[in-house]
Amino acid sequence: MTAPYSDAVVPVRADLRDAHLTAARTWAEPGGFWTGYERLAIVNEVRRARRAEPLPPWVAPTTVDGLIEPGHVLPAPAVDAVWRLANHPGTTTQDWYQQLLDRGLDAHQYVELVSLVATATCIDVFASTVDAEPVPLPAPAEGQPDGATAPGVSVSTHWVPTADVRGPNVGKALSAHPRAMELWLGLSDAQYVPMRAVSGDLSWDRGTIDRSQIELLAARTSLLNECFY
Amino acid sequence: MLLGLSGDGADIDLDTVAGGSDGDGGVANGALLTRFAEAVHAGDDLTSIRSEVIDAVGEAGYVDAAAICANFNMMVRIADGTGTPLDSGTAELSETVRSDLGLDDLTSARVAG
Repeated sequence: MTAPYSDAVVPVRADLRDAHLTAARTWAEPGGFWTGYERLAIVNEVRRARRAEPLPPWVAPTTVDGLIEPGHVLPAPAVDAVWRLANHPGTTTQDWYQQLLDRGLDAHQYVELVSLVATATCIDVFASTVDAEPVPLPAPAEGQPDGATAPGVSVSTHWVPTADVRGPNVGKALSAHPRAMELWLGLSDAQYVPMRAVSGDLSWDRGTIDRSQIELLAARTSLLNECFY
Repeated sequence: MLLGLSGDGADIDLDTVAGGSDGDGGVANGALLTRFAEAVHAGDDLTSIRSEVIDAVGEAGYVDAAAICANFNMMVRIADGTGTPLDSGTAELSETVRSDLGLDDLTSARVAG
């Protein structure tokens, strides 16, 4: 697989490049509830959604003539979820989520899909900031999803099933799926602040921009995405 | 959001976060970094603002700033996609901040059950 960001307009530190490369490899592996082929289809659909003419949030792409090819590898509710999460994350509601389940999407499939949409969007946004091609996708790995979840998973605090773990609610969001957690944490450590320092060392930085600059960028980006959390 | 708790305790103007101020808001290069986050979000051509940010914080600082914007494009999708409720302790601590930024009026607003 080609090393990402060799065409970037600024040098990208090695640990960040490696984190993105690792994420792309993880996308291609079978997950708990999607095959590697399906997981890459989700990532590719994120890229299609981000490049497309914007749809209003309430318009599902599978209802637009000619937008989604017939026989898509992903079920229609999954495609609709990808587009909504990719382009209008701040407009999601519990009713919308429930409608996806009513249309046949499994809750665990959905959590894994959220993990893929979130990480793919993040990595593609970064590539655009350094004027680089998106991280190339590997070939899908063979194998079937193993259905694995964390122990003691239930629907309690979030819309989606979560494990009974301590810490902030956002850290619990993907906890039903250990691989999704690992994917998220690997990226967060390389891009933001190591988990131990998020609230444990409020002056932590990489020696470039300081922590208040980091948090300003984080807060402004979250607000622009209309994120309540 | 840890903005109010980070740094050296200086007052940080939340208008900068809300995009309602041209000033730095108590953060070094705050106005520039705010414009950068907005340009990334809008998908604008970054050529010009990239030069400004690199002049201000260097190439490595630019990469770190870009990585933060990217990271929080991930975080918002995880939080909003999973129906993550605000932590009860955070709700109390951030009441004024949330009011000032209008966060409670967003579609994604969720209260811990």
